[in-house]
Amino acid sequence: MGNAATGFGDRLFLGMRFRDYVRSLMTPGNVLAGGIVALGVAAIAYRFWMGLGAATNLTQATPWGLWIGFDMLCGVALAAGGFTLAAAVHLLGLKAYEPVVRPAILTGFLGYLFAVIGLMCDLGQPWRIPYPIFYQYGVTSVMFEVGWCVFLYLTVLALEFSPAFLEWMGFKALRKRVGQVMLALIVLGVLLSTLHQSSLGSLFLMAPGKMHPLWYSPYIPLFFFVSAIVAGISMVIVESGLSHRAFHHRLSPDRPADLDGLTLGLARGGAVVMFAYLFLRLLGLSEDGRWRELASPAGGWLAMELVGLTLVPCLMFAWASRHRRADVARIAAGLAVLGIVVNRVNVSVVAWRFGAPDHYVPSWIEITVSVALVTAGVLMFRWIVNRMPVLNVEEERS
Amino acid sequence: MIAAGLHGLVLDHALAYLLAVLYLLSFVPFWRFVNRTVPAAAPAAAGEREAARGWFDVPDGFGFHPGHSWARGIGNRTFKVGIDDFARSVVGPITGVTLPGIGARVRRGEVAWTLHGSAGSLPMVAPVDGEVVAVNRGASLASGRVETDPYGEGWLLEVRQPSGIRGAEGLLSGAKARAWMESVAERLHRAFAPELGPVAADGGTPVHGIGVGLAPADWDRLVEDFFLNPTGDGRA
Repeated sequence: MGNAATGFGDRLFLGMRFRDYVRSLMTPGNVLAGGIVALGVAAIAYRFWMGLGAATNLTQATPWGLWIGFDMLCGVALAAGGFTLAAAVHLLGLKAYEPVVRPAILTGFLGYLFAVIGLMCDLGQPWRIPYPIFYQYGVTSVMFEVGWCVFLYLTVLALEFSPAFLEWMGFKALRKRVGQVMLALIVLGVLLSTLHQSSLGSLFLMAPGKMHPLWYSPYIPLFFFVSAIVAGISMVIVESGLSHRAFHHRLSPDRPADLDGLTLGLARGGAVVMFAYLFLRLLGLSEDGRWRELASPAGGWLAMELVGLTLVPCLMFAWASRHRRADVARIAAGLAVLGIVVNRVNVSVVAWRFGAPDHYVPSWIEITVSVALVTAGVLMFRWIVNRMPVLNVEEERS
Repeated sequence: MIAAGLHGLVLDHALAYLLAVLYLLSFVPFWRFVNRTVPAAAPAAAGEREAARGWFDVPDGFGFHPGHSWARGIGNRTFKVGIDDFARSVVGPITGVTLPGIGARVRRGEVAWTLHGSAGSLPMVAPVDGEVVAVNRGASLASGRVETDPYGEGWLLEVRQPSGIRGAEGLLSGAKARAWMESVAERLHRAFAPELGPVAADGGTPVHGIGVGLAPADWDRLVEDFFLNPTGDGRA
């Protein structure tokens, strides 16, 4: 709407002169975020200049740390809202949720993008990342499936989000073409997500001896897949709530009335999936008598994960849905997101050689890079939402 | 030793089966709990909607922003801009308006002027993007025009949009605007029913200057929830 007639500079600088635009950016929040990102870039440069050994606390015994546990595993899980919502709207016909699909796909795309950047930092020889795709497949490795799925799904997410970019640029013909293949892209996205969300869990099947029995289970792939749906739904609730507060000026007037209803519908779905997920986790504990470890200190930490960050948000979702309290649903979603983060870090870092005297603690460079990647993701989300039709799809299409 | 092993194996399997049965038995009541809303909620909401109907004037021919400002095209990519009946009712009696100067740039959804009234100061957001080309000085001098005629003589600004910037699309008008205003009134009734007192309870319309009787914390909540004042850095 009107974009074709608008200059590229106007679109880029929100209709302001460049000098005014730069001045508008000089706020305390932006300066702080810019500083964090700059620090992160310096930390990444140091990692590539000095190597993994100097920049991280990773060892041969603990080869996966914060960048895999947090940036990769959490980034991918929390990005699952893209495929969950796209499947709900376009495959299951739940059209009421259409207003939150584009933000969910954008969150998914950025989640994967920054997960891959985190992965590049973690790889000893990052220039070899295209090997499984183009050069040396390694079909016997779980990494083969993970590599291909992440590569393909990142491409699919970029294509799924491309209509917003094309509408912003005013490329109507190309936008129409992409629209014609959108359903195929969504089917492909759901397929790839199902495959690799679970195959990320499969990575841990190769190390039963190194993982604490309370977190190891032959069902880890299933846990990862089901919890990714929880993470995706919860993240959409969190993201839409925050967007609603932060982007008033981009919202269509009738959106505030819709948002609570959508949040409660998502909370209902979240409650049911979390309920199933909780029982699956308990079933995992019953396997090979792992439940006997519950009396150990690690059992307390697992109880915190399963009760405080899974059962409690599950019941809060259910209560919120029943009493139509969107505010409670948003708090529950925040807890659920935290629960997924804690779970992924538990599986990949905490449970790894649990109790070993040289237990891994991330270095300040690892922490700096992770914080900077999250900050950069939020900034990029804001930059895109301020320009492209993400929150008001109907308005911009008309 | 073998017996103990067998015992452990049986116990593990029994636990697994028990969990499966427990899941199946508890899922149905859980599903019912999640999918049934509390019955009292619907009549209460309907009552609130009925009580709030028609509180605020929403004339045709205006585009309404959820921050309770309006825009009306007057040609040549120029819009007259003002406040709606809700804002007038909340803040009034109005003692003054702080307006931007001619040539200032306003952005849709960002604070553009401040209304001063007996209830307090109310920063309000612009309904459209553009450059201010005229201001209604009469409005800023507390002449009473904003209060008596917010959709006519009480206009605040004339804003001209540069070529290609979005116009007034996305603003609500007609039946959609009336439905939106009803939902706003309903939310107001629900959020501040005790403070609104007998006025709302007896089915009447709220008094002029709804915000006057609110505590400072409630006033801040009302300004944030109903006038969409952005609080952080919304741009990059």
